[in-house]
Amino acid sequence: MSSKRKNEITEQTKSHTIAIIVSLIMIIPFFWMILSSFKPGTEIVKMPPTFFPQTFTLKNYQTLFERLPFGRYFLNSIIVSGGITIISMFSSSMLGYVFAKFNFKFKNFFFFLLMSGFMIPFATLVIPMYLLTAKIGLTNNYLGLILPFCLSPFGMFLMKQFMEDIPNDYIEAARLDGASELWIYSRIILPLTSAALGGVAIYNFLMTWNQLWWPLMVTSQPAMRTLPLGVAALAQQQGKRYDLLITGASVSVLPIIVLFAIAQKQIVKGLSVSSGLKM
Amino acid sequence: MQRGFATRYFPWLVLIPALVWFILFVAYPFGYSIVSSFFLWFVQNPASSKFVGLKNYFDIFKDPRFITALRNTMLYALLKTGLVVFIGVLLAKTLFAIKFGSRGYMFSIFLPSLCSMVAIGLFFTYLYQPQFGLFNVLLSKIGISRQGFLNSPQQAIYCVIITEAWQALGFSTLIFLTGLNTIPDVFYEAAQIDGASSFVTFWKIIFPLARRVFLFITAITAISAFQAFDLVFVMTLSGGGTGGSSGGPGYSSYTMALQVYNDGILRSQTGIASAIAIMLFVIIGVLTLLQLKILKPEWEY
Repeated sequence: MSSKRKNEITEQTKSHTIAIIVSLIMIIPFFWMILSSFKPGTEIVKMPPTFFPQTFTLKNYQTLFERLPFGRYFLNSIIVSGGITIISMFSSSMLGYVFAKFNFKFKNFFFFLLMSGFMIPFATLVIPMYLLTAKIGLTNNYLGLILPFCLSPFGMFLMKQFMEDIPNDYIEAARLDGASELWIYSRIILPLTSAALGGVAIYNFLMTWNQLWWPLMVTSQPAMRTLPLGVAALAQQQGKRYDLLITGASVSVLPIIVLFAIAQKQIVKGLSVSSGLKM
Repeated sequence: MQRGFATRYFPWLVLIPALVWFILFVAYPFGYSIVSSFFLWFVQNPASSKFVGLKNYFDIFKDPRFITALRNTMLYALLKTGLVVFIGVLLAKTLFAIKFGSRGYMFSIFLPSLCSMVAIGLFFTYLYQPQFGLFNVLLSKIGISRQGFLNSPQQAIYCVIITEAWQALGFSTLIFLTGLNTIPDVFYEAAQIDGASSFVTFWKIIFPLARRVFLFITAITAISAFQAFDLVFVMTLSGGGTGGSSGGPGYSSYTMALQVYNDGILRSQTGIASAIAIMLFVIIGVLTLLQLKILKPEWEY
């Protein structure tokens, strides 16, 4: 018995050691990046590299915010990601509800049609999408950044799956009481699927907060850049200024780190829900 | 059951805007890509485009840039998927065995998956920097001479792929871990009573039961790897691509998605870009069908 216990303790120690090493490999770059943003440019390119700043300075932040409208980039990212998240929560849940609980002509055809969007990679659509957006004059415009991502086929699929589990009796009873369809949707269906909806929201927010390709195509004015694009543009112009690049990168990951620290449980749960494996 | 007017029309009120959106942002662009891939296509004046049949598809195979892009994309898919699945499953297994405190580890392991590729890519270009970057400093400590990394045409794509695998590891670990949690405890207990080693438990019990999770992770990792764009774009920017574009040194780190952007937007060769885009669609379409088949609920226990 005692040797079994001893075995278990060694097993646990081994697992913890591996977990600690991997955790360090994953998190040290972030610590280093943020610490480096407080180093003067000369220290960043020094040999050998330092981990903790020898001289602490806020100058990089000052230069960055003076030279580039980082506050504006931040606001743009909030507007675009927030807009996409709210709209796709609506569209995913409404379509999910319609496909889960209604019968109408060609229902399956329409469902598979909308789902087929999921099979087509963004790279296949991006050039014509850009040409269309340019033609209707939506480049350098929030609508142009938001519209192509208003409907997430995967979100719709996920919401449908969860809504199918809601008993029809609930809906029929409400209808007999004279409830409108919107009332049923907002007061019965949504509250019962809030976990899945949260997953859809988190997934869409992170995806769009970090996206580069589409904002790169449809914005040419610096004032319309999102945060990742602002940082990438910085790299395009000042490829060798590692002090500014690292500070820009830090500014763009800090909100995510804070958000994750506050809401780790919800984010992890939301993302495992939205992985689609109903586990 | 009598249904009100509103109830009968509700689905259409929801569906019609969705269909309009679908036509504008999926059907039309998709059709445009297919059609223009058979033409010498002029964006400014599509009417004057010249039909060339499959010429674009044959021509790209004579283009060394595309051969490199194709090779790199395959390499990307194989290496990233291999690393992420292999390390992810071992890590998930390790975390699963931990009785207390595994959530704390999950924070740091999962963090890179949430952060933007742009930020991560730029910080890694600093680490890969040949003169003062960390990696060369570490290599010199163990007596290996200085490497070019992102400045080397042979190494650049590998540097990008390794960064991407590092970034994606947390997500696969999380999904594997969720998968392991769904296996009923009786299976583990039975294995323990029979005195099975952890290796045997893994291959004979966990692997078959979590097969769906394995296939799922493999499929989605490969799907994203075939579309590799963001990280390549930022990490090879300062690598010396021509005219401020990415994919350098030279065109050694081209991927298919990057070539779609470079040819379609920067070089205005829409027909060529479309042909590459359609090839990507075929590859990813097959993988997605596979993934949807895996996702279809089926009882396994």
